[in-house]
Amino acid sequence: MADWSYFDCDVMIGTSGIPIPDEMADATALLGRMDHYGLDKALVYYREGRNERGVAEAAKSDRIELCWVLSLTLRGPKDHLEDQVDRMIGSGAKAARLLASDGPSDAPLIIKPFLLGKVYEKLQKHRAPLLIEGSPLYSPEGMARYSLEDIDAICGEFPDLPIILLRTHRSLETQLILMMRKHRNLYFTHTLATLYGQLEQNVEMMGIDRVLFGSQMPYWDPSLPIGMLNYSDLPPEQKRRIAGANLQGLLDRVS
Amino acid sequence: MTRRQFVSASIGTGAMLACGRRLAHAAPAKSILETVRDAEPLNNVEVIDAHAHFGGVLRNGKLPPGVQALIRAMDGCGINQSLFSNSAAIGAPTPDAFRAGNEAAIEAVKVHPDRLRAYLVFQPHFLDASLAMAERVLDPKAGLVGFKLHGVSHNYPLDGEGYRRAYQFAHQHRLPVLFHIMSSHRAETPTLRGESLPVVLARVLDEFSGMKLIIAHFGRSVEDWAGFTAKHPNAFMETAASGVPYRTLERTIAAAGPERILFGTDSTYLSPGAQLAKIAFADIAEETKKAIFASNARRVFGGSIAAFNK
Repeated sequence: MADWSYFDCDVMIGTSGIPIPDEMADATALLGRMDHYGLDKALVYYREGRNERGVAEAAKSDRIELCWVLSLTLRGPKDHLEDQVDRMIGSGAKAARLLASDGPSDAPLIIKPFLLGKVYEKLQKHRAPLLIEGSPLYSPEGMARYSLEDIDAICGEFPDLPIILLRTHRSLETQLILMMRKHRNLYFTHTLATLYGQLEQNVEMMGIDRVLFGSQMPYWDPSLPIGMLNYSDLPPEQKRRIAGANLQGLLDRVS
Repeated sequence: MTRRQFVSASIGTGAMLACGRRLAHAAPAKSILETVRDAEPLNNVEVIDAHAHFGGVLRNGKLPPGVQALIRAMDGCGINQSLFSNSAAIGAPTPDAFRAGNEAAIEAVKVHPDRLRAYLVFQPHFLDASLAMAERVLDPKAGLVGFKLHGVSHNYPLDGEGYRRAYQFAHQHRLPVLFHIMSSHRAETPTLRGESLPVVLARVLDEFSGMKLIIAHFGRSVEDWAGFTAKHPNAFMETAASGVPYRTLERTIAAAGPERILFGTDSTYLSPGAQLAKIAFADIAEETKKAIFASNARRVFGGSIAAFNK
């Protein structure tokens, strides 16, 4: 019997007019899937960044924690993007996420500090982790336009802001190792490691503290990262850290 | 107690109560899902890995995984038997190195006859060496089950003359052929006239109908290849893939049926535990999982693979 509890940092719920395959409409649907996979908790964002719906769904179970999707839309002449961090903390959410829009006429997601620095500053003040999708770093198609240089800049200018890179790729392994050595506030999900022995080698090179579990359900199959961790050669205590304890520790430090 | 432990314990307790006092002391056998969710090896089910490797390239200063690493990976997950090819033969720079790689595979089977069988790597650019070794596949003592073709690594046309020689041999002797045709990061296996892969492969399968072709890695796209497999009785799919969209296996089964899907890990290139979990967690019947894990492979490979010995 496994001694580690899974806390998945990368899960989406919600529906919209254009359905996606296997979407999970609400907390009930999500909890059913979590039981199937043996996931104890999930950090969940609501589709299309509808945080008010996310707040409602997260309230239905203590197994679900809301990940606040940062809005990059100014609501009026006196609006400041960083003000939403107060609303986020007030809602009980302890982590934030940047989300590229799917809209064909929407601007690409740009995350440079000169644009979003005040948001990062406020998140840093609360030590609230910021989750950033890793796929634009190795797959330049799509609506997000950022690079490792941008991640490097954010990590460097805001050294107390935990940055969690979601679903990076093994082709970036060397770059990520170098960045992890440089920035103690950079974290990643272990879906980076798909090769035989790679997870164990990553832990050997980067340490155990900054590896998290994130499935990107319902887009990607969570069974692979679960199987990767369950059957890895890591000792149980390290599996426990990756499966959920590292993420829980980050969220417990949010003030 | 974690939630997973609570759920597992509750199921066990409920099952015992349902069985009555007489059976109260007998722990019910765990399902495949429960076993993998509990991070235990699948030791109560036969598992045949139809796509494995040892050898290969140096990574991060570590030596390439040898045959002992493959056996250890199998034991960790509960894989009974692996059908593997030597990565050193696939990537061999010279015919001599190619021959040595295949010979090392044959030698590994001799050391582990209950656990391993090998594909003979057929390298179309080393055609003479490949043809000279091909007859070894017919020798039951060699422990070879068919050919491994790697069209992407070898960048050789699917309908090229070298591969046609392999297809002809496999057709004549009713052999399985495991074929890596597509990759998301490199060019797909080319064709001579730039026709699409499914069109050319359909012609190959019809012409060489005695060959049992196993398309590696789900063919990379369920939409393209599951329906294709359904139309060609000598086409099969193998499940190793490093990252798959949610419910890929379920959609593949819906399009192609479960009978021609074989379990594969691509270990020791990929992590085998991840691949095992993909089948275990799928929303399919227990008997379908068992078919994918073993009985489909037994039908394809017949007497060329080792008997089941748990």
